[in-house]
Amino acid sequence: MRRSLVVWCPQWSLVAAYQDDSLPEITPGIPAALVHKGAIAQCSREAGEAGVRVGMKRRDAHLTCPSIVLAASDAHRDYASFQRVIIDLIACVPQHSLIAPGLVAFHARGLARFYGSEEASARMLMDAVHRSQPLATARVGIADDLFSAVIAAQHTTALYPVRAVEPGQSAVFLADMPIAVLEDEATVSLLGRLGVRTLGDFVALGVEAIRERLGTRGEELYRLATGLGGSPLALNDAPVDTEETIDLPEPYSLTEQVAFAIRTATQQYSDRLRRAGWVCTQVRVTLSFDDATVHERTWVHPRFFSASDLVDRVRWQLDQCFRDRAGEDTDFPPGLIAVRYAALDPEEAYAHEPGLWGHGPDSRVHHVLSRVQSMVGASGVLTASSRRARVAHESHALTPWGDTPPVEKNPGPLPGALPSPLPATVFSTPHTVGVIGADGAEIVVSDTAELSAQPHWLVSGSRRRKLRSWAGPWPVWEKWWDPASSRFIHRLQVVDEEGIGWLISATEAKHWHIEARYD
Amino acid sequence: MSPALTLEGAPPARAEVHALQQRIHAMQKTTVEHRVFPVSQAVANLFPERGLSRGSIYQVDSSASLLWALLAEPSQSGTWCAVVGAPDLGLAAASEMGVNVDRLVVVPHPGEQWFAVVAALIDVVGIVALGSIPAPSDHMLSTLTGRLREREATLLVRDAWPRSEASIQVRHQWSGLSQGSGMLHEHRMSMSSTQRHGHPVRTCEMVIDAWGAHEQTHHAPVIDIAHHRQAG
Repeated sequence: MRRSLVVWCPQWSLVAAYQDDSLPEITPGIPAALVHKGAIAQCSREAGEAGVRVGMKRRDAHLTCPSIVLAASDAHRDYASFQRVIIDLIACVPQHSLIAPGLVAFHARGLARFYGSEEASARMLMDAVHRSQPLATARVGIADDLFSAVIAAQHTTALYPVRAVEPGQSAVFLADMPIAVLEDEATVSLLGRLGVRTLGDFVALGVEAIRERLGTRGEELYRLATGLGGSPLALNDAPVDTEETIDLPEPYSLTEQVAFAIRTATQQYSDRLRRAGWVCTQVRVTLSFDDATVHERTWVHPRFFSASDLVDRVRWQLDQCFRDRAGEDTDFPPGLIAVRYAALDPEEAYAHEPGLWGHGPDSRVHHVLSRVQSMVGASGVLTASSRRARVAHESHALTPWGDTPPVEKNPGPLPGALPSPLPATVFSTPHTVGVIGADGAEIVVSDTAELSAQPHWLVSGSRRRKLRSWAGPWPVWEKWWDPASSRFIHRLQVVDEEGIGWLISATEAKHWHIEARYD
Repeated sequence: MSPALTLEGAPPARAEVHALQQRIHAMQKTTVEHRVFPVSQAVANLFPERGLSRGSIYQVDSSASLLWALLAEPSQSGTWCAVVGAPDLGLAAASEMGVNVDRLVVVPHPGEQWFAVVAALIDVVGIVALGSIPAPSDHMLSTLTGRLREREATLLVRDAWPRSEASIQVRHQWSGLSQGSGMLHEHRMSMSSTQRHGHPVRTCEMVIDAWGAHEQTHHAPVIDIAHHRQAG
């Protein structure tokens, strides 16, 4: 048994949420809470004062405190933000054992020897956590075994943030603790019904009786409760920093300048990850401009990012930025001052090693398509996913190469879908046309869905097609559930003299568009 | 001058000529079989080898249904297909006609770089279909044909390019609509392919309906039994 020192950051998930830029509405000082599976998982002090409790249902929390801001809890976010704290702690202590986000253990003996005493090392670690993450508070528990140390840390107060259990006193310390600290719901509930309230009562039952009634699991709990259990610390070296910020020497406003400037640093970043045995399949690229604006985007790779892939992503993102801002009325184009990579979910490199006989023809396809992407841009190379389209306009069925295709969850019936056979050509931008009757007047659709005359001509620009037959109009109310993108149209199928079919539609504004061609 | 090209000398033995002919014949047969992307039954009649020959350029009508009919079988058998410079695609129709859209790559707007894009794609993609793109120069064309032959890929173009293997024309006929009622339910396509080397024009008919694309089947002529009975 090695004496352990545990650093615990209460409410870590909330601290992580405060840091998350995608949750701007969650800030310190307001009633806020994180929700997991419909119940409150963690709530801020302000929410607690208003009566919100952990475990409450979401709607009850809203009733208790109408101004509460809720967000989904995210284990990945907690973990990633705590990782940064650990990286900063490495300056003080080289090896750690991460128990959960917000809970990390160290060997106490080495720390006490180096910093003079356990108390001094605890103070030092608390300061280090505070420096790394000013929003977080740290508590420290020290005991002979890991379980007691965690319990000790969790039973500190803001006023006395350090609690040390004297050597050999773990069993005495634990005896007063409520049985619920065992965190084994089934057993705790059973023991509660048997009238066992504290760990002391539990230990008093005797190991024989516990083994008989609860089996090996009970024996494990008994060992924990006597201060003998708790696995030895599995120590790890410092995690690799999976983020990198590249500061540019001066603001650049040309894509090629930037690509040239970041190439070496990106290569170093990629090499650093590879040396640590990681590859990244998902990366968040953040571009900071000199006018204090920031552009952020997450990129996914079907295999993993190499350095040149990363540079390509920065170029595409920058091109998109400049395109988006081209309409802005500014004297100078914005200059890029920093590029930041954050590898999300880095994966073990060995899972991505090529096989002994190369890695199949698909990697060649990927290589070539990536090359084409570097010529025409990320969204210039598209792959299709087989999904049906309600609307003739179906550009959403295509996804850029390398992105995960949208998953169609419930391929149920599509009311309003076109009947088969479907049009072989679908215009990505519907063309405006004129539909003319025999007397030369533009045809309109009445409110009762009737045509003002028989369609005779289809006029597109200077070209005029005589219509041989036609059917319709059919009223279609697309996406009625979404007011922003819903539209009400009348559809018409026509066949021209050459035998080619057309799908045309009239909008509410009485304009005719060609949606698709049956050719 | 090599001996094979001299006209003087003893005429070669008949047996030797026969053996050589046999050899040429055998070689031609195997190459033809291997150097083709077989196409589906409905359009196979357009091609003497019953498929798109690898390393060639075909001029096809701008009909999208024809394109999907040509890509259906190759994409099903795992060949990657690409459509360059054609943003308006009915992918739902494509999968209805049997195209495996998971093997389809679309580069809708290659712009000025269409040549570089096509040259790169040919490395891995079996069949590349070009939409509306600027006419290539002679130099580009000869580079492209060389690459196509080397990579055994096939190019489908809309405009009349020199050196194309064949050109395929389509006439459409839709039925199902009348004056104000009905709906489009059957698409009859009459296709004709004109070969480069003065071969006879090959024709074939395809019908596309709610059950997909299939070959036009000619029913046996109906014999008027009643008439025969009266006569007999």
